[in-house]
Amino acid sequence: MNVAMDADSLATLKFGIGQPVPRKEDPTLLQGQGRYTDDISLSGQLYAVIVRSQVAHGRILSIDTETAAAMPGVLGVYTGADLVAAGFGLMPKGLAFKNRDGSDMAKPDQLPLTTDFVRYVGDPVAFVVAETQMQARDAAEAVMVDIDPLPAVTEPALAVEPGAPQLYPNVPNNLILDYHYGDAEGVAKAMSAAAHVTKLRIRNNRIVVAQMEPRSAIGEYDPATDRWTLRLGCQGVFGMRQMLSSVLGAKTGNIHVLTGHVGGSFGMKASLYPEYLCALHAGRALGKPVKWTDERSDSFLSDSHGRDHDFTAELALDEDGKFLALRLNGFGNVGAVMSNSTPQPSTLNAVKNSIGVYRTPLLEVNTKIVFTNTTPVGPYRGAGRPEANYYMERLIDTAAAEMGIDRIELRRRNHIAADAFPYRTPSGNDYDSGDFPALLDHALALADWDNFSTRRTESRKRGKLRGLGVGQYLEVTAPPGAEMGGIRFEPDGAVTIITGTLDYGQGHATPFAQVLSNQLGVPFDKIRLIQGDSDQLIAGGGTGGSKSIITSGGAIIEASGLVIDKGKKIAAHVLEAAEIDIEFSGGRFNIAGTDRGIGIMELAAKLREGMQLPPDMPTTLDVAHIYKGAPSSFPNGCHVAEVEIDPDTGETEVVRYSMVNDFGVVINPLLVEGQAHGGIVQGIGQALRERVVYDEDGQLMTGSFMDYCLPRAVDAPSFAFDAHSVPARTNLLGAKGCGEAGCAGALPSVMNAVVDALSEFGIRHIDMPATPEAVWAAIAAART
Amino acid sequence: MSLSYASPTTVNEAVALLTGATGLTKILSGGTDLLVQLRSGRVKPDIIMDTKKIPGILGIIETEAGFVIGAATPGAVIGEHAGLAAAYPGIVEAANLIGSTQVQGRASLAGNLCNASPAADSVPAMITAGAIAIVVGPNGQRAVPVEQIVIGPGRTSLARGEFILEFKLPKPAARSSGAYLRFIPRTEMDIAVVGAAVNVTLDAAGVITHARVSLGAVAPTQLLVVDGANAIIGSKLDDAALAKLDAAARAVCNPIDDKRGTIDFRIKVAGVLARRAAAIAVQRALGQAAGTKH
Ligand SMILES: Cc1cc2nc3c(=O)[nH]c(=O)nc-3n(C[C@H](O)[C@H](O)[C@H](O)COP(=O)(O)OP(=O)(O)OC[C@H]3O[C@@H](n4cnc5c(N)ncnc54)[C@H](O)[C@@H]3O)c2cc1C
Repeated sequence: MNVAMDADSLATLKFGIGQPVPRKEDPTLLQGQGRYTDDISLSGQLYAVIVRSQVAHGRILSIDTETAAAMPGVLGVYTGADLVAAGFGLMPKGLAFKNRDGSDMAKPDQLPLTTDFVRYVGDPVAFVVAETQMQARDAAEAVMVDIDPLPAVTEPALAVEPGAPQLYPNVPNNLILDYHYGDAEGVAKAMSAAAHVTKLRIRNNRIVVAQMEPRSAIGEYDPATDRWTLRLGCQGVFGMRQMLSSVLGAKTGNIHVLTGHVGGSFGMKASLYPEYLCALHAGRALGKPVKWTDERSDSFLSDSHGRDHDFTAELALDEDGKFLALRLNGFGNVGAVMSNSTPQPSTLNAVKNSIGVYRTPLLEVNTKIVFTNTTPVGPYRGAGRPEANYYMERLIDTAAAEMGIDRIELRRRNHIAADAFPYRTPSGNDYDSGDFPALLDHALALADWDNFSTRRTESRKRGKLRGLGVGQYLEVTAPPGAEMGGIRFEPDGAVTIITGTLDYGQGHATPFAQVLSNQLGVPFDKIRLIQGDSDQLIAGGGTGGSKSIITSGGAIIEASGLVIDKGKKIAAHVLEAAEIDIEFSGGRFNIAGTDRGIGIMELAAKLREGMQLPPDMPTTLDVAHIYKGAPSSFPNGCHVAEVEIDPDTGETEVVRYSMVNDFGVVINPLLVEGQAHGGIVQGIGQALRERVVYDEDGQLMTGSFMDYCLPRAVDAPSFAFDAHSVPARTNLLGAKGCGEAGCAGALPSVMNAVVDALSEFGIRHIDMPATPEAVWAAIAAART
Repeated sequence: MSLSYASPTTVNEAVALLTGATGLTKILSGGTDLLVQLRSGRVKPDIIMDTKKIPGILGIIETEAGFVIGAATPGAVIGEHAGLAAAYPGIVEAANLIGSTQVQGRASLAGNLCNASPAADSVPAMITAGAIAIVVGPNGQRAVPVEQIVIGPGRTSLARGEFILEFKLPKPAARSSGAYLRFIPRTEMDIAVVGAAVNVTLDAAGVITHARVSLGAVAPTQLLVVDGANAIIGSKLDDAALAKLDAAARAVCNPIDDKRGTIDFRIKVAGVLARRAAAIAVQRALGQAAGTKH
């Protein structure tokens, strides 16, 4: 084969970096052939149903399992005491933070199933295993849990008050962490000397994740090999295995974690949940696989919730509107139990993300992280990043109104300039790249900002208020973490990528294959992805913090380099040339200066067939590499939302939405735009509709989609989407994470537009969600 | 406990079954309320009697005198009847607001009415159209105005052994039309926080000569708002008449305060929707095309 462009390299063009390649898994998923955990049924499988607390707080007096155990088909009824007796340890303690006085944050011991107190409605206390799902359900209803109710507290500001109900004996005032960051004295000085200080109390509403696929798990144990197997939807099997190891007291080698398709997670499925341990315990105790699948009503109670901050935000400005200092004081409500990201969102991520794209020399964040009798709060799309951007952008619009400066002009006066990189922020991040002023201009042009007044007049004729808002965000994606870059040339001619990020709807297989195809010239349709089998991984940071393309993409690039190194040695032997004369390009190993060479797929085939090789020569092209990861990237963008409000009913409709994003080098624009759309719709949901509500006894008032208002497709306008890319300088692809950005742009742009529409009534702020009732009430209050 | 199912093929058979049955008997039309309640354990009937095999109970007949709508006729069929849509657009748009495409394939007017939810969407529209329910039972047939069927949440005036066979609507007078609007926290598939229906008849000069106004979800039953109708009769729906209608609508409201809407909000929106529904009804009566969406 002496053609310059063989079929392999042609494939790299069509599937190259920057091409809008559709997702590899779409045909499978669209035909209903996906394999989600609940689709798997193992032979002899049993079914578990969880018994949950129906009160928010109380002491467990007794759990009577006798009646349930005697019911038809029931094979076991277990409580927390059984797990303790079986040697199950404490739940992982998650992240370590320091209090402002330097002491360690509180970390109460938490068992997989509580044995003494229940602390939220939905707290699991027992589980039933039976031959069928219905039998298990019926028996679960017959488990008698006698609880002596205690007063509950759901609001963090109340939970830290003296005399408030206490959730854990060794966590006084329910205060897990008294977090402080920044130069308090400097900020205080700047605030008192400033020409103007804008101050807002902002509630960041608690929301449910509402992923499509409920959590599900199948637990098994093989006594012959002393191995546990857990099948579940999660965000990374390598990390999940690590967490299991600590609770099970088993070596990681004795634990096998498998994940197939995952129908959405948004951060929520990253944590280790008690139900998985229940399935494993019963799997061992009964010698059969045990499946547990949540029901939607239980998902509302037991999947970690998102957001739920309560901050007072202050921005100090000089007489020209230059930002001097930003201060956030408030609470992060983390619910009743630690999740794996407690307490990061309202502490460290508030620090890192709040200044966004603006020069702000001084920053202080004080957060009280507090337990309450509510469902645990976990990471949710952005995990503090969109919240922080939202605080800043709301402050800017408010300051602009208070000081009589145009809100766009105020942003321009404070942008970090395009030539200021690298730029060290007061949170210690080094922004490497970006062009924030140009991005703003680009977005305003796309949104036809200048002709807004014409559209407003037209709305007014129909009796509607119209508002326009911008949200210019910058997110700090996850810090570096080790990730596997495995490449394997399979017997059937396929090439497998093995990496430990995990796709729960993003479509990883496609961009990863594009990267590999681009590096090695391997045909796109021959590339497979293994991500959900812990036995195949030697490292894996999982998915989270918008980092997958940066870490797995980087791992694939480095691993590809190693494949080429090996291939050169073998090709030199095959082509009877010196290794130093072999060049690799377009998927071929060539002897430099000649037209002689061999394609990488052909070389792999020869190796497969068995070739005589000298003893010191590699025998395969396969590579199992650990990439040490790349620094955080700084995706940013400017979103412009336009809303119409019916003043008589308070109904708000997002009528136009434009965005310009800087995601650096984009591997697959189709998937990136999809990520933006999804994030924005979630943002619109949080801004206009969604809110978790508890009553004073800690009962969840919004426990179904009847009472919890999730946005629908009709609630979203068509999106105008444009890119303004400045390649990242700190990772191999030049990429910036895009997964969480939609929320970060949507929350401020939509709410700034709502406030803009209401500004004629003198309204300066309204909290999310701006439901019809809330908007109507704000107007009614402003009119009287 | 056993649950039996019967599907009589005549009215007499059905009445005999209902009268003779012991235990709780539930009538089944589309089942979009009943089956949900059954599955959640909220109703535990001994017998389910499916009406859909009774002749005439499915389908719409248009006569010189008006329309006869079979009690179990699903929303999808109602939505496709051009004659009914022209004569009573309010009923058709209200019936078609119920649920989703799937629900529309089953959901009926009788079920919507007899489920007796204060928020049932088609009921205010039927009331303003002057719909008459033909009730059959052990004592034969009786004709009952729709507004007299529901007497409280989940309760109807039907006696033991009775069920609704059909609804009768007169042919509307010239220059008559109607409209129904509801307010929900989201854009579809939700329970009304407020519903408002208005029917009007105009004279040649465009003055309202006859009107009916009804509100849903603001009291234990749907309300016929006579003062609201009087507020606009004799007017061309000028601002003063609209303001009076708004006030009359608000005055009769007796809503609950719940997580779906506060009392103040429901009352205020009831006035707003009454005004807007009246405006659409008048526009339609004037023969002007108006969208069915609010
Ligand atoms: C997903 C979903 C969405 C919905 N959305 C809406 C909505 O937007 N608006 C709304 O108003 N409703 C809504 N509903 C409720 C329901 O669909 C409607 O009330 C529907 O009209 C009921 O009609 P059906 O024929 O299905 O009634 P069924 O369920 O068959 O019956 C309802 C009740 O009426 C009684 N009944 C039925 N037929 C007769 C009869 N001929 N004589 C006497 N009693 C009778 C039954 O015994 C039962 O008590 C929704 C339901 C679902 C499941």
